Amino acid sequence: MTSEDEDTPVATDGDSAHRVNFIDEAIPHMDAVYRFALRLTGTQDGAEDLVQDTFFRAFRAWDQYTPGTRCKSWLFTICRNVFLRQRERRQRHDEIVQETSQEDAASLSREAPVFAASKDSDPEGDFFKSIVDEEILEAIDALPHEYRMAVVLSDLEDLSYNEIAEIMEIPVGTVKSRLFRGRRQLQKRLHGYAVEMGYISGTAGDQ
Amino acid sequence: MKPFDSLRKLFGSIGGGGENHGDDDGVMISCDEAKTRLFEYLDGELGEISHDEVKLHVERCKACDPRFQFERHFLDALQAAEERGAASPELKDRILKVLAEEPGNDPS
Repeated sequence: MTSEDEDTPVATDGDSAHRVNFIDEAIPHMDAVYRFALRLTGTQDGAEDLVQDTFFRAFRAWDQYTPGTRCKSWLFTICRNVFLRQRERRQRHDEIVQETSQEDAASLSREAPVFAASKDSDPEGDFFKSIVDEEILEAIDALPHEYRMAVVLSDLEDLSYNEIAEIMEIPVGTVKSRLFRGRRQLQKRLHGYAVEMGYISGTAGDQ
Repeated sequence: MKPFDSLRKLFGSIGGGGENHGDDDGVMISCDEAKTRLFEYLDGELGEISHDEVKLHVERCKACDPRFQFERHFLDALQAAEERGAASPELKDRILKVLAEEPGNDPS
């Protein structure tokens, strides 16, 4: 085995080795962090600033990263914290989600108002395939940010409930209720859109 | 999820209410139960036994199948919408440049 090259640190001084590790491990996740940031901020400029800030902070905190753990989750955590701090600074508490814990994850999974509404015209939800990506992303951007974060991490970035719980600093049960509630809101909007566009028949809007 | 669910189902023999539209061979969970675990099932978050129970139910239950297809099509649409987003090369260059100027935290 010629593992010599891989096992030997490329640089001899701690400073460069630190940098090399970061570039090898963290930088490859930049696209994922960018997508997450884009969904959080809603604008390309905002996302680019957030990504830059995230990687800058991640680099400074790199010695706190535990090698072997999921670097992507670690970066998402930093990204979320930077985002929340930015929001706080701007004093925009416009979309505070009230946690009505009465509606638990189980009933959110069991009951499906949008499915019920479209059941007759399109029982298997084929209309979702007709909706253009931009509309879907817009619908995600319109979610309250706590729901949005859960939906993006789960449904776009494919993280587990546990990973999301760690990033968002909430219990797994809360992850589920936010995620399922976010999905329900999304379905409602996409269904309304599909009716409007004539993909399916039915009445758009609230039911 | 709960380790005793499947046993309870076996012994309680569908006593727990809820309709069951599938072939009833005595071990199927109810529609209600399947729907309760539906998202966790689709997200791959259930333990093996629980996952198999839901899988078996969906495969056999004509009433539940559309709902599962519906959710799957929904989740597929979300996944497909995201695939294209990527950081611009300019952003990558900018970040790498900033990091190059930043002193690393030398542990010494």
